[in-house]
Amino acid sequence: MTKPLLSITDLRVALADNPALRPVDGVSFHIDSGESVALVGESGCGKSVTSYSVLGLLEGSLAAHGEMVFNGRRFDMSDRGALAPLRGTDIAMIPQDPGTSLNPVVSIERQLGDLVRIHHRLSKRVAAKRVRELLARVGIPAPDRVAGAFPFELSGGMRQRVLIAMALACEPTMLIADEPTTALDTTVQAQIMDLLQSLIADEGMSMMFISHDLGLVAQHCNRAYVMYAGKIVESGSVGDVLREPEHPYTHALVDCLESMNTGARRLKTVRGIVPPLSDRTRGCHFAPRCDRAEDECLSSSPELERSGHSLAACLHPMTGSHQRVSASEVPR
Amino acid sequence: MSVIEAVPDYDRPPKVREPAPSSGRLRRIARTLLINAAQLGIVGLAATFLMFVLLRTIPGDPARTVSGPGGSVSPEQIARIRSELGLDKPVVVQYFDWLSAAAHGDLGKSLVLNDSVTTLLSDRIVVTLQLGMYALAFALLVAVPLSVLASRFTSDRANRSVRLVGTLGIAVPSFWLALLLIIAFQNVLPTFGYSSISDGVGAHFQHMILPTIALGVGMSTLLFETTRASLIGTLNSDYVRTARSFGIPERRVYSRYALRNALLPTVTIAGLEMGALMGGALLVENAFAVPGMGRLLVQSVLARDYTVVQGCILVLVIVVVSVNLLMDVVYSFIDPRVRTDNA
Amino acid sequence: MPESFGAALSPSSPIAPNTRQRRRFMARILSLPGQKVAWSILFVLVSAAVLAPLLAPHSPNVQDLTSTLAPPSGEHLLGTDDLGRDQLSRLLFGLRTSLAISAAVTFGVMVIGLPLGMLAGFTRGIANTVIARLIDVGLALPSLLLALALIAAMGAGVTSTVIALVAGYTPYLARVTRSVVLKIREEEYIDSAAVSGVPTWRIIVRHVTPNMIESVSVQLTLIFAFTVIAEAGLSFVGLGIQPPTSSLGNMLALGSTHSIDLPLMSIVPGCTIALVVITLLVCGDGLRHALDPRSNR
Repeated sequence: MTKPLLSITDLRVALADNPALRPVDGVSFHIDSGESVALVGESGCGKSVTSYSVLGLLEGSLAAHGEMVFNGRRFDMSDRGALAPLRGTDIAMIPQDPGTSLNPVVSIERQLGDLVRIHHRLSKRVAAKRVRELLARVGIPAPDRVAGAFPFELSGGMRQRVLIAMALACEPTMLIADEPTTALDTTVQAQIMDLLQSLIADEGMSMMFISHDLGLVAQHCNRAYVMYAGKIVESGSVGDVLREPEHPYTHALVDCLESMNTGARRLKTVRGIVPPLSDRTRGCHFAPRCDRAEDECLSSSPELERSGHSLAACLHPMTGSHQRVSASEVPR
Repeated sequence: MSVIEAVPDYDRPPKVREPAPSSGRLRRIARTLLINAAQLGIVGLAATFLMFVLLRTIPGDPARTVSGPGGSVSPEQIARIRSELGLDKPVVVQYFDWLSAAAHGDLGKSLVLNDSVTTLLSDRIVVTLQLGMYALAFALLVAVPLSVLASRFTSDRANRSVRLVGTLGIAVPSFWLALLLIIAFQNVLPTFGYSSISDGVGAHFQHMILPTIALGVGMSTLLFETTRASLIGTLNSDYVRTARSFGIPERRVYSRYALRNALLPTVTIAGLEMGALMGGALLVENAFAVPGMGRLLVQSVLARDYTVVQGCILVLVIVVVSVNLLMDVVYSFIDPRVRTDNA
Repeated sequence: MPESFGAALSPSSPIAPNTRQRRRFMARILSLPGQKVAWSILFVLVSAAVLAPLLAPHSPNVQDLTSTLAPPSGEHLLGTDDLGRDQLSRLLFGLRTSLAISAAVTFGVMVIGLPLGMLAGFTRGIANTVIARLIDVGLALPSLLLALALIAAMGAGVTSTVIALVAGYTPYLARVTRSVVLKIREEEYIDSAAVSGVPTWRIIVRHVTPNMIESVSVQLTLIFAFTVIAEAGLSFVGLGIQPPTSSLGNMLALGSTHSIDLPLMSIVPGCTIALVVITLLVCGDGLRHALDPRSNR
């Protein structure tokens, strides 16, 4: 049993002013070498915050606690300084919004070139060559022109490619892709995803893929963790989770997707809204919106337990039967 | 109150163009400059024309000024003086006469002092320009490092203190600050007069320190408040976080990503405030008895020396327009997004 | 925004349609930190200015050449100037003069600048360009210089000071008003009103004006504050209010001649100016926060 590349245990992120409010409330997951793992959920569930915590990039108003093991080394997630050396070199993040993620007054050449030289100590000339190689690698048609350009002169898709090139330039072991296609047109989305896929395969990188798009997750990932209101509610292989969802929330999400695809006259929705930070119940956070909820759901917070083929944090999962197997016995 | 927040379009947002190759940037900057120069030139000329017309049409006869106080001047003499001064021609003709003479460097003769206007002005404009430049430099040198420091503190109380500083900067007028400085430093530094650089750098700066501070403090508080806010904004921006996420060392993130972007609005505001700075310079000069344009202008106004007043206004308009143009140049160099800036 | 839509179509102003709302509005302003102090000081200052003839122990222009440049005493709480005039009385009347002038100027700027800015904002095509360029011309010269030049033409004194300052600050208000109008014009409820056949003038009166009041009133407090300083500056160099009438500015000028022996003469008027301006700015800040629907203090 090989050790996972990245393993997060009991990550909690709380507001610095008010520790009772936690955008991320006890999240544990792992990613093996070469795997593509998805963190799925709707806006506000805490998936982006989770990814920022991995690199110690949370804004000052948030504080993280938890244990992280990367490549055999232990990290205390509340120590941003300790996590800093991982940035780029080991783990590189592709940000969500290409429109605001590049320095607007510095040319692409400068930004990418800086990265290349910082991570690999190349001379200016060699670095310039490498910049163009990277740009070509991510599918940019005129590397010379784009290198001299400024971010505002490029389209959203091009900027995202530049950001991917920047991630590649660092030669990391793992990529975190934070909703890499959300800000892009659907036509461009597919191209970017294919690009990511091939790059990961070529370089043998692992990927943490953050998204709310179940379709993309289905196409490009091996395993998935479903998040809701700061907790992981289901985890398993992508096939299992999407074809036989155990947690009512996952089930509802998949239902919505299907109703779109089958052209049903009325799209299915999940009633209610994601509870704001201050409004999260002690028990299962999804209970107020759940059709299967009982009284006990509001008082006790369910743990992730084996249910069907996946793990689900639910007292009344879809298959109805679940074997209470503790997390430590679950084969990784 | 923060002036910047209260004014809706104080900052000129750059006009972002659609994607295009970035060749020939210098050519485009030059073209922008020419367009702006033309616009500002027209506006400047209109301003001088307005002044000219006002000075001619509002009661107060230049002829009387020349003839001196004391009412016993005959109407024929007045008429003679008027035709000497060219005051009997239509206003527009007078304006063009004056303008074409001015283009040749002839601004006429002072009605009161026995000197050509050009001579009077050229001695003094240098002084005023020096004062203005020193004050601007002072403001930037004080405001920017302080705002870097103050950007670390983002609590409510810190924000309120900064606001208070900004408010004080507006509320304490430069001429009063000048007086306070005179009171405080009267035995330590010279508090009036001027000494040119050619007469000794040391004496020059000794005479200029207090006026510079009096003039520069107001602008420095404004720049401090806005630069700090801007810096806090950029430090929280996506591109700074992305740069950090790729492992760029913090020092470079701070200088090339955060500060570089944060200083853009500072430059804009400094440029916009230059006009007010010039106005303040006039007052400070009077407080410190510095022989610049300000003193000349005030004395001429009090003496109703119209030719000198016109000359001063012209020069001041030229200075203000040139400063605006300069700011446009600087801005188009530091912000690649700026192209043709239509008012 | 459904609320503004409803409010805009309702016959009454959305700001403070009745006394209860107005009282709540004031309470909201006063709840912010520092506002109680600021507004009380403002009240004191305005009262002092208005009641100066009653409050002043002496007449401000009466000279007493036997006790010139006297230090503060029971008779003259702030001493006397070099013509034996009581400083406290001159201060009170000077405050009165300065505030009166600033009020007049602000009123003038509002009366001319608002319609001008609204015209600039509402018209399209050539008229728009012409008016906008006119405003730019006015803005090309710094306000103080414009005022100076006008006083040059008209001679110093109260009337010319007021006219000059109005001319100096009107372009600024016009420009700001124009921006606000342009922004409001973009809003959807204006389109709805136009589409439903409401005539233009009515759109302006009913819908645009109430929404403009907020930004414009904030600007007006700023302009008032700037005018106080500008008038003081002009009087300081001798171009504004002429002695014997006292204004804060010319008191400062007089005090400057005695900065060595009697610093109080320049410190007191200067502090008064600063106090007036700070108070105005803080109160304006309070107004802005209370009018801003985004603030949720």
